[in-house]
Amino acid sequence: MLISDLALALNLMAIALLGFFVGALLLSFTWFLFGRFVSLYSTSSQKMLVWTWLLGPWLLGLVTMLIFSPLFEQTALYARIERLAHWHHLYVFQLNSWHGVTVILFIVFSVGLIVIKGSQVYRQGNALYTLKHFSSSEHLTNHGQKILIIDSDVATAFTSGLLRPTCYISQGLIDKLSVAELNIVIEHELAHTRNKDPLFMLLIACLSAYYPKKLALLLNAKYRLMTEHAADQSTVLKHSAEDVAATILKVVKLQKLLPAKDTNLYLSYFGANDITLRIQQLLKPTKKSIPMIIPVAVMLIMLCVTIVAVDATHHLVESVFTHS
Amino acid sequence: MFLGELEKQVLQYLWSSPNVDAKQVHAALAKQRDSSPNTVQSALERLFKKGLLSREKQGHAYLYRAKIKREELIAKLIDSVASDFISQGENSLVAAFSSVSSDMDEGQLDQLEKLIEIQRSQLKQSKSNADK
Repeated sequence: MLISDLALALNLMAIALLGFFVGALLLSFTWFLFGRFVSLYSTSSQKMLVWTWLLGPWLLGLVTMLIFSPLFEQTALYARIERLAHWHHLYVFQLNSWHGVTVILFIVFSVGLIVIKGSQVYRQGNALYTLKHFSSSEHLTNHGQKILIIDSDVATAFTSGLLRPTCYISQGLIDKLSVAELNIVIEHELAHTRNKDPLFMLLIACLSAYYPKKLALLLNAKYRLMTEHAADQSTVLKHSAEDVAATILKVVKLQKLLPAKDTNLYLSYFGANDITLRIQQLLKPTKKSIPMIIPVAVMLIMLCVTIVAVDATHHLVESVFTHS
Repeated sequence: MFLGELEKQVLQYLWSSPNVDAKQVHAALAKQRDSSPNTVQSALERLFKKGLLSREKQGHAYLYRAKIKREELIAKLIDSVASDFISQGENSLVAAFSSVSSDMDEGQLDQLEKLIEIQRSQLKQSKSNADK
């Protein structure tokens, strides 16, 4: 049993985790009820909602922890909240209790996640480095941004790299596109580099890993689609939406001509529905936005529920099973 | 697919000079880098295990040749870069312009093409109406 500042720190961590799990449960349930309506709103609103969903549990856990912490002990708000919810053993922590198990499991999971994602980033970095070694020559665009040309017949264009993302385009794709189409592809990819999309995709993948697998996949896919919409929109500034849509279709058709089964080339980043959604968004953009007040209000309600739920869960488990 | 610096150099050399043994590879790469014959032998062994080389025993030594063409390796690397994270059922770190989808058939693509054409003709129509 620990009775010290370390016990306080571990208790605060246990509170934050319990708050996080309650928040994740509430937000998963909200997605189950309202997730299907998210597509009705504009790209920026959808992006904001995905971030709210992903950061929500962390925020709820953190605020719940602050509210239970002795930081605000002298305030009137603390006295009021304490009547409703409190953590009665803030300076005592038992490692062999359910709090201890929760904290240890969370740390083990987080370290495992960092190792897995880190090794994926390393492997992908090595593959990119090898790709550059064997195939690419540099090419500068009008805006001074680098595009690397891959000497391959495979029709592909992509952006990769976390802190300094780079665009890659294959010679095979360049040969098959007109100048205008090639400009659309380049502008689309440069938009990804400006937005640092690969870095945010990694962040989203890490944050969503704490959610149930099904919801994590949905949130990842939704965010990825939003980054594509945003990159498509940036090309629409210089080209017509119809031309951008037609270029997407042309590239998809070129990629379908690949002997995918023979060379194991399945560049399937999206399902069929995503290409359709991108084209529909280009031709008939959704402009309806969600007022900021709605997610803020929902989060405040959830915060109240989380604080009460953390207290209730704590007391329930304690009275049924005791601490150890 | 993970390839070390020496493995890349060995592979590059074998594309231009097939059917050589470890000694010959070591002699050829000695100008570029200071590696021991054992290190070169290990690199050849690793490349063989990765399925990138084939070998044939001649006397006491193996003669190595690249099993995969340069273009095929580049295609594999593109696949590896693009689909690494997908294979984990999660997001890729790659933002691709567009993608092949195994469940997207020609009919769906044709439908989307028609949709674009309809939009184009509607725009033309509204422009000509505005000009009048």
